[in-house]
Amino acid sequence: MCSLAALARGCRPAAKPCCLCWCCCCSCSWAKCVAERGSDRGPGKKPRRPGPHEPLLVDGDAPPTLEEIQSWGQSFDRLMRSAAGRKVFRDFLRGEYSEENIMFWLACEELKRETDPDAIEEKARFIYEDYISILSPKEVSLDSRVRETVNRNMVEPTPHTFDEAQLQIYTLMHRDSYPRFVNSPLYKALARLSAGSPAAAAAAAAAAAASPPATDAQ
Amino acid sequence: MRLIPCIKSYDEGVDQSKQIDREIKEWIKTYNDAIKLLLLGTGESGKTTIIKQMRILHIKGFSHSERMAMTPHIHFNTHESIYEIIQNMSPLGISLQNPKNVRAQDYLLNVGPEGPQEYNEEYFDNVRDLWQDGGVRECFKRSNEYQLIDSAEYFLDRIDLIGKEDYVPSDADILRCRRKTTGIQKIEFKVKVPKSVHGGTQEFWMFDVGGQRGERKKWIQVFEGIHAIWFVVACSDFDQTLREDNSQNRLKEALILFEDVWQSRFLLEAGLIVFLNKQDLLETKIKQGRSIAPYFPKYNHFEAPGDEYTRTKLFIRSLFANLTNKKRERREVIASAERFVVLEASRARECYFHFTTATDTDNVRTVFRDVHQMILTHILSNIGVY
Repeated sequence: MCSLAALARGCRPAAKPCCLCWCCCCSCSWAKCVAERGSDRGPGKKPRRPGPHEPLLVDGDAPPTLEEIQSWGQSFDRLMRSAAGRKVFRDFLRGEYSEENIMFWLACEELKRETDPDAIEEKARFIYEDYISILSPKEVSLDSRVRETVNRNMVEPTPHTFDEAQLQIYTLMHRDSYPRFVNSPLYKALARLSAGSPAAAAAAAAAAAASPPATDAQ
Repeated sequence: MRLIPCIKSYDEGVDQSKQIDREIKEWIKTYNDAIKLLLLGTGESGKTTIIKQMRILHIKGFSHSERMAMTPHIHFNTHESIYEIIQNMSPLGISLQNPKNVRAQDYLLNVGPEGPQEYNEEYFDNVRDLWQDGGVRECFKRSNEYQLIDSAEYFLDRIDLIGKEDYVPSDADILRCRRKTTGIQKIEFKVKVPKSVHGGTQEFWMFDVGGQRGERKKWIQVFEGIHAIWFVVACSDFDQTLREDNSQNRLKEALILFEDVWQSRFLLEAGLIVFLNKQDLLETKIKQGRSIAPYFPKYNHFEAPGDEYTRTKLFIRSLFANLTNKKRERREVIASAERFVVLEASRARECYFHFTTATDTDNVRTVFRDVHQMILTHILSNIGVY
């Protein structure tokens, strides 16, 4: 069982009381993306021994410092610039059923780094099918103006085909999900006690849920 | 491969397993005790506003820091409002009344859709000048022809207050602050139960969802165990189109969605309460001389007493009520072998209607009291959920 599962449950809507979801969703529903992101690691290579911070780590990255974690609460840009920050935020979004937003954003980032014309075309089509098509279960919420722009751009995809859509989704996460993330027991526990034991973090999470944070005292 | 981090060595696991069992047990008890309400409706119908009202009425309201955290969102609402209006002036062939304001218009269009880096005095001065311009007002009156948030007028009228450096958003401001919701969230609160029922307190879980088309694919994940659905309809939307599809009328979309919810076999056990919301905006719209008839020609043959506003709101209610009757009639002619299922379903299928203004705390308090009473007496005792 993940050491942070209890924390995660504290913040998720928990419509389905399934502890397993938190652990397995990342490997099943989003297998494709995980595979893409984990490509720097050999497919058969065993991950390091699981520690208390394992769910935080993006493979190959050093664990974030407490200072870095605290900076995530001050600015959404900082959170999104940090690989570990994106991972934690993504776990949070999964609990709120809006993970497709960050998945789409990440896919767009990857597309922007692509230089090979054939790969650009292929990646753009995948992004369209996965996140823009109204038939996709992971469709992101775009207004009709942006959707039309994307549709026009798709005639000849470039690395910037989804720029407007990406910004709209970035703004959506920033305005709607991010304030809840910063106030979530999960984030509060991490920001205060990232060096503590899982039990201490869990206790902090419970305390954070039960009493208003110090900043609210004024 | 991703499952491996979840597996711990055996002896460590036994204790943890017991702990988890205890947690699950506790969790199930809390789950069973709570009345679960699900807010559904199209985008911008007012679901999140209801959630905010529950915070004001049944939780501790908004702290100072939470209010301060709303300021950027209210600033942005103000910006998107004025930006959207002036951007639509030339497509609609409307020009500024005061030529001096061209400079302010250029300034704002230059700022762009995302808003300025800093909401300073210069910015608010420009917005104020524009909002006072006759041409801008004319374009605002035609806002049903483009996409404008419902609280545009509210915030632009309060520009002097909002522009102050020491501005602290009031409850009314927070209630009108518009932010698109994505995903599904839950809030929990306790409400005192009237002594006439059984006294004590009752735990509520209320689920809020995003309303745009893409978001609705997620709804089904919270259908299980829901006691009542609050279906929220923005009645003033009758002459507007969807943000996500500008070829579709918003009220028509709400009707289609309502029929889906009403017929969903996953929601047969849930009570259905329709909030015919945004009555304040509907009244204003009708009093300004706009009519629902061009969009819903049946209104011309609708017979009801009262003024235009009253007739319009009764007409909208009839549109939704007809969908619930239609279903029942159709079910009664189904072959007898299926009758049992039909009767099972129709037993719980009553639909309640409320005219609401979700931004009005007093109104929501009254409606919530009614609904609470109804849920307690009707759903819990009759259907035996408890």
